[in-house]
Amino acid sequence: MDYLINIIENLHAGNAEGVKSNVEQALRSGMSADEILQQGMMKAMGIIGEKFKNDEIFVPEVLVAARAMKSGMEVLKPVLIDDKVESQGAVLLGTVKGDLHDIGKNLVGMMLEGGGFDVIDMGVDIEADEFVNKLREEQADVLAMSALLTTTMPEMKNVIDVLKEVGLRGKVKVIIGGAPVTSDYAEQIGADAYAKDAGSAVDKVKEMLL
Amino acid sequence: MLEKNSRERIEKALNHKESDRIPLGFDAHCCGIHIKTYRKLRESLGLDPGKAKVFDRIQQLGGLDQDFKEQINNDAEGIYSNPPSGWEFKREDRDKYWEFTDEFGIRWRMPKEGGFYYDMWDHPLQKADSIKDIEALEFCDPQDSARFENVAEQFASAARLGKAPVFNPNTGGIFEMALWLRGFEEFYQDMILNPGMAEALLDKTLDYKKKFWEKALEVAGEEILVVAEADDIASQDSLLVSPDMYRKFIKPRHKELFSHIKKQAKSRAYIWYHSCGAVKRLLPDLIEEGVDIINPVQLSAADMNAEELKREFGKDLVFWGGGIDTQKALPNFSPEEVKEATKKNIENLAPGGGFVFAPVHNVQADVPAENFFAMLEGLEEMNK
Repeated sequence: MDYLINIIENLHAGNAEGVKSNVEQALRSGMSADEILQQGMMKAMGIIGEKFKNDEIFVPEVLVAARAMKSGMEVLKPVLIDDKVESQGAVLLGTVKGDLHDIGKNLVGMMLEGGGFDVIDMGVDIEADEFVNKLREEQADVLAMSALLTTTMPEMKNVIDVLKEVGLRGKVKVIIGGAPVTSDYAEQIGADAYAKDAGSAVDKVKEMLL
Repeated sequence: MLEKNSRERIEKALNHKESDRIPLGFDAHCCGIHIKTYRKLRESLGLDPGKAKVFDRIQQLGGLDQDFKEQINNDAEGIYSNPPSGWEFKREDRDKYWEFTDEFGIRWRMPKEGGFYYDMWDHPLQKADSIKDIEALEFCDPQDSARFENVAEQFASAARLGKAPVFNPNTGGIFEMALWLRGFEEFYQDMILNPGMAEALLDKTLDYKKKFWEKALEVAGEEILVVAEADDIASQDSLLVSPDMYRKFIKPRHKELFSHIKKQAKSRAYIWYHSCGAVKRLLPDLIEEGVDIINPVQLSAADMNAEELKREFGKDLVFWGGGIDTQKALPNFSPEEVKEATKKNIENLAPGGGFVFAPVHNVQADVPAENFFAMLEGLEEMNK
């Protein structure tokens, strides 16, 4: 139990080395990888997401926590695979065509990883066709699109239209976000969900996949 | 009473007094117009659209010409420094992108297809792992005379026209520059994991700025009025860093920079400060640092209600912006709705002076010409 508390504390402090050794210790003590993931990492990132949503912590604190989580996951992931623990789902993530902004998108990716999802981050300036090809290749459950600009936002609608054309819309859930994006806009263009921040994105993706 | 000229009109606003009409503040930093829209506007006004040239490459803004500024009755006049000698803009053709390297060694790119702006993607200190690495980075001389070659003439021209000069910054603020030089995620993490490196970089950007403004203010002479600095510290919903972190790392340096500027200026200089986003929580700190004017007053951000801002901070801060929201209203509303929204914002921000009209940030490429003119009509009606 102490191991889990240590993981949560070190993750919040951004202590990557600490989290890594806590995970190793927990595994050695006989705790299952799934329990460490659920009760340690995911719980800690959940608290981080909540605090971020409530303006108690800010981008720097989230980044260092995510970095610490990553170093713990490096140890945990091979064991999870050996134990055949299934992920919460696969999310394909990217910023739309014409838009090169990625900090918000990266935060969403980190929080989703911390929420137990497999995240395939395609980067920035992604065309509709590229999303489609990757969705097919990875069999992802969710497409998460980001746009920071009012001028690139309309591309999100275009991607959704293309998904319909190629017959993928029914097979994949779509969530969108970015500074100028709103829930009204999501509804208007036929997305399944909108998330205001990285913490809410995890909740929304979970809801969509229920 | 009628004001003698634009400068007097803006001076009144800066001193929290009303004037014959509400001053118009285009041409100050982030109060520009995207080149695509600027061409459309010139055409609508019967001015040669072909004359329009890009002057801000990164934001793809049009240089506002005198004929245009006359037609819209603009009161401010942007003053701009030049690039240093030994650096020039070279556009490179790289696959899907146009790219260039700026004077600091930051790499920028814009998608050839569907791109609206240059955004940075590579940072000279991204791989730095010690204070030494940070200190080793050399900047072009901030006091290089090429930067200020025609600055005195620009001030003289503004004086001849009776306009209020706004000396615009040549780059981002001390915090922004640190993020740009080091990389966003790297610098944010430094602030927690390597605070010594973060402080060293902020000292370096502060030093650059102090030297730049020293020389700039000497060249500007007695005509100086508004000195603009832009340092984004907030996002749409929140602050970028916690108030504690802002107060530890950034506030003391902002304060040092702003008092340095005021001390070096040959006559009373007003500090014009730009931060997008939900900055309300830090406005008392900015006032304490010596900020006189706040821009762009992003009404669409969290907790940025015009009426409340005016009530709580209207005595201490001049609002230069907040005229019309540019995320939803200006591009998407009908002209009639734009006009009404403009009038409502003016009603909230203008009483008692302390207000210079400008949209919230640059007018973007997606704004119809009719909406731009509807905004000006709204302003005109409030002047009656």
